[in-house]
This record gives sequence, structure tokens and C-alpha cells, in this order.
Amino acid sequence: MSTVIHGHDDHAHGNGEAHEHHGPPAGFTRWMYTTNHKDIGTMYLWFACFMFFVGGTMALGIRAELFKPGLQFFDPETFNSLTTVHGLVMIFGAIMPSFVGFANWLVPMQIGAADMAFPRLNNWSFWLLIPAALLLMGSFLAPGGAAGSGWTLYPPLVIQQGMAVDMTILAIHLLGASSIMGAINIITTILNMRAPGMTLMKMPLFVWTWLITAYLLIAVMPVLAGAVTMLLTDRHFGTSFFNAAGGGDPTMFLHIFWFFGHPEVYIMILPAFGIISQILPAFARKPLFGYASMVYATASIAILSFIVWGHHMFTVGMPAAGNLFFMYATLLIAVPTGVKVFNWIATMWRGEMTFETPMLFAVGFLCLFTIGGFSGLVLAIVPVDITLHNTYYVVAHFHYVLVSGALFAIIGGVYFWIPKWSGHMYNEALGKLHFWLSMIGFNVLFFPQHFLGLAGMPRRIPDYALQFAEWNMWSSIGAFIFGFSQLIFLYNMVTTVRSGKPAAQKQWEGADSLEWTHLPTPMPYHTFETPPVIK
Amino acid sequence: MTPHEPTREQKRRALASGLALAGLALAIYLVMMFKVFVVK
Repeated sequence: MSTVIHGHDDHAHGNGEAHEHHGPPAGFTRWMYTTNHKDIGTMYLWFACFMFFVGGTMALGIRAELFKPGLQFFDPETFNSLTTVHGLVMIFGAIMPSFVGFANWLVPMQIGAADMAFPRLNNWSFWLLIPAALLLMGSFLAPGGAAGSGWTLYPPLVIQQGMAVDMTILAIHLLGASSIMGAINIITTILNMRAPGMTLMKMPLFVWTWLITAYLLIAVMPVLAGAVTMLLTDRHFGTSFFNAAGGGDPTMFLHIFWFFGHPEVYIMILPAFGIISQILPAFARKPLFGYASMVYATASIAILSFIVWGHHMFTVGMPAAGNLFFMYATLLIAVPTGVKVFNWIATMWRGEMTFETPMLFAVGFLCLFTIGGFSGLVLAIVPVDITLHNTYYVVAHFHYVLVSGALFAIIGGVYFWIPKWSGHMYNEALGKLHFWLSMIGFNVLFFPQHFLGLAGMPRRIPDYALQFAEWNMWSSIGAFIFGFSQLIFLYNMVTTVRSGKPAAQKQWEGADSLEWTHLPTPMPYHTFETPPVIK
Repeated sequence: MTPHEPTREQKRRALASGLALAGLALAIYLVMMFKVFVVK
């Protein structure tokens, strides 16, 4: 990034302290009615944290069931419900809201704005998540249990299930509306509220990645809404869009769903790229290598994400030419992604690196996300995918992308910014313990799933053949190491916020975005009411 | 509490941008639904 900050140290306390006496109102109404981007960001992050533990508990239930062959704890229907709701909770309840939490906290501060463009809309976006989460979780209590079709909600199974599916559809509508409103807010804020001199190409990468992500959201969330609306009318209003018995086509749902679903993958990873692009330069004490190419690579990935959906459905019987098109388009994404990985490594090259917890998670991200990317290339090859489709290889692949990719970036980002957000420094020893247990637990959990998939173990089954027993046992052991190590993170964050040691104004000497250079620690309630001047 | 007040120009542009983006989202939803209904 080429931003030159005008007299930053002189102004370090100038923009915040003038209004420090304007504290927030007390009690529950502060959170209910707040329009402050920091409050709303905090609520998003705690909500995501809660849902992360809810989804994680389901994952541990799944892994406990799969520890050994045979049925231990759950009947097959409940097992299917657990895999389905685990996916929905983690995607829509944990990963996406946590990135929106980051955006709320960081986007206004990193562009020198006082708040989001539509603060009331921002409040509404958050509070829509609560009924959605209640519907999703409450669907376990519906007759027949929660939806068991997998998070992809494929017909015809999803058309035949009980009212839990209707609750899930309504939850998805609410979550989609929340995401669209959030995306409108973020785009408008970035395009309209930047401080004087903050040109687009001076914005921190996190802001850029969110700008592009927000466009993706606006483009594809209505498509998901349309798909689930059609499911609803098929279920209750006599239509047969996806019902073969009435002349409909279940394959059409797959096309519509994955036209949403693949950009959704990038919605969950592009903001992670932004976070990593802020952490690595700070701890390498060098500017990000290839800033402009990072922006163009992010945009290229976003554009390509619209023409690769077919790689999720190579086995449905598309024409060979269609399969080939989707295969080559998918392989093409490796180019801009490779540019990014190269730039991150070049940023670290000959840097004066130190390895505090955020940097550990960023380097962990880089190593493990790249493994997930490579297994994605393996799956992009049509004949290979036809063999591996619906096996644990796919499960291993997308967890390398979404856990060691998106989640590691989120955790690293929280460690990176919590000193600025809370005014307190976290416990570094606990942070490092958390990282290493997560790193070991994650790989023990998911790496063997590659072997299981290559050996032919199908996903979404509660029982399996004896030859899969050993790697499943290891995978479950890894799951419990990984799962319980997240309690260290929770403990560390709660104690940091409540009683951590005071953090410095610029806790990380290499950090160069406005929140570090222009704003005091702890953060005042209102910031940048007078915009900074960026040269 | 002194609320931050965006300039009149910022408000106007924010409103235009918000409406355009919301319209885009709605249009995508409607076009898809309409197209499927017509095909059916």
C-alpha cells in the first residue's frame, strides 16, 4: 500500500479524544438501538463466536459418532440433521457474520469515515440474524427433526421433509436479506465516505477485498433467495420447478444453487485474504508486495467465480464440452490465487519477521490454505472428480479452505486487532498455545480425510465399512484436540476484554493503516468525526 | 452525544447508491424468478 499518512503521530490523539466524553448509553438499549459501527461490529463478532461454538459442538457430535464403525450416539436421521445444520450454522452464522463484524469495525476506520453510510440499516442487518438463528436451531424441535438434506438443500429429498425445511428456508431468506443490506452499506460507505485523499488505490487491502465481496453478495444472494423460494412453492403451492414427478428438473436446482454457491465460497475467503494482507506486512515490517496486483487478482477471482459453478456437479451428466469448460475455467482461478500466494511470500522475503500469535495464524493460513487450493485443483479435473465426488476428499478439501483458510484468518485478525478494539493486550503465551494446538488438531482432524476419500469413503454417512476405521479414529481425536483448543481462545479473549494489560496506541510497529496511526488506544466511541487528511 | 453529520452531498450520493444497489438485488431476484416461470 502506498498510503502516506500526513503527520500521523502528531494527530494520534487528535481525532478521538475530543469526543471521548460522549460515551455510549448504558444497558441493553445500547445494544438494541445502537447505530455505532463499533458496537454493531462487536455484536456481529460475539454472535459469530457463539454460533461457531454451536456449530463446533455439532461437529464434535459428528466426529464422536464416526470415532468407530457402527451407530453410537445418533440415529441416521439425526446424523443427517447434524451435518446439515452444522454446515448452515458455520457458513451463515459463523464465518459470514464474523467477516461482517470485521467490516463494521475496520472499514470506516481504515478509510477515515465516522461511521457506516446507513447506520440504522446496519443495526437492522444485525438484528435480523437473531430470528434467523432461532429458526435454524429451533428446527431441531420440529416434527421429524431438522433438515437433513445437507446444507445444499438438494431436491427431491428437501421437498419431501417436514416443516423444519420451511423454517430453514425462512432462516435463509432472513440471512440473505441481512447480507444484502450489509453489502449495500459497505459498498456505499467505501465509495462515498472516504477521507479526502484516500483514493481507491490507497485503501488497505482489507477494504478492497470487502468492496469486491460486497458486490459478490449483491449478485448472488438474490439467486439463493430465488432458489429457496422455488423450493417453498414446490413444497406448498403446487409448483414443480424441481419435482420430477410434476415435470420439474432437480438438476436445475443444482445449477441455480451453485451459481450462488461458488461465489459464496469466495465471499467466505476474499475478506480472509484482506486480513492476511494486513497481518503479514505488519509482522514482516515491509509494505505489502504487489499491492496493485493483489487488487486485480482479487477482482479476477471474483469475476471467475461466476463461471465455475459446474465443477460442483460434474457427475450430473452435463455434456463433455460443458464439463471441459468448467474444468478449464476452474483451473484458471489458480492464476490470480497464485499471484496472491506469491505476493504474500514475497512480502515476507527478507522481512524483519517476528512471530506473535496473529503472524502465526497468518503463516498457518498461508501453508494450509495452499494445501486446500491444491486439492481444489485435483477436484477440478473432471475424471478425477467423477471418482472423488461425494467422498471425504471433498470434505477435507473444503475444510482446508474454510477452517484453515477463513477461520484461521478470522482468529488471526481478532488477535491482531483486539488490542486496538478493547484497549487491552491478550495473553501471548495462551495465544501461542492456542495456535499450536489448533494447527496440530486441525491437521490430525482433516489430513486423514484425504486418505479416506481416496479410499472411497462417502460423506454424510453415520456408519462406515471397517477398512475406514483407523483414519476415522485419528480424525475424531484431532477434532477433539481442535475443538477444545478453541476454549483457550474464548478464555483468552474474555480475560483480555475484561482485565488484559493496557495495549499501546500502535501495538504492532509495522501496522500502517489509519486505525493504528491516527487513533488512540483504547478506541473512543466516536472516531474520525473530522476526517483525516491523506497525502 | 454529538452525532456525526455527513454532508448533504454525501447523503444524496449515499441514498442514490443505496437505492441503485437495492434495485440491482431486487432485479436479479425478479429476473430469475420471472425467467423460470416463463420457461415453465
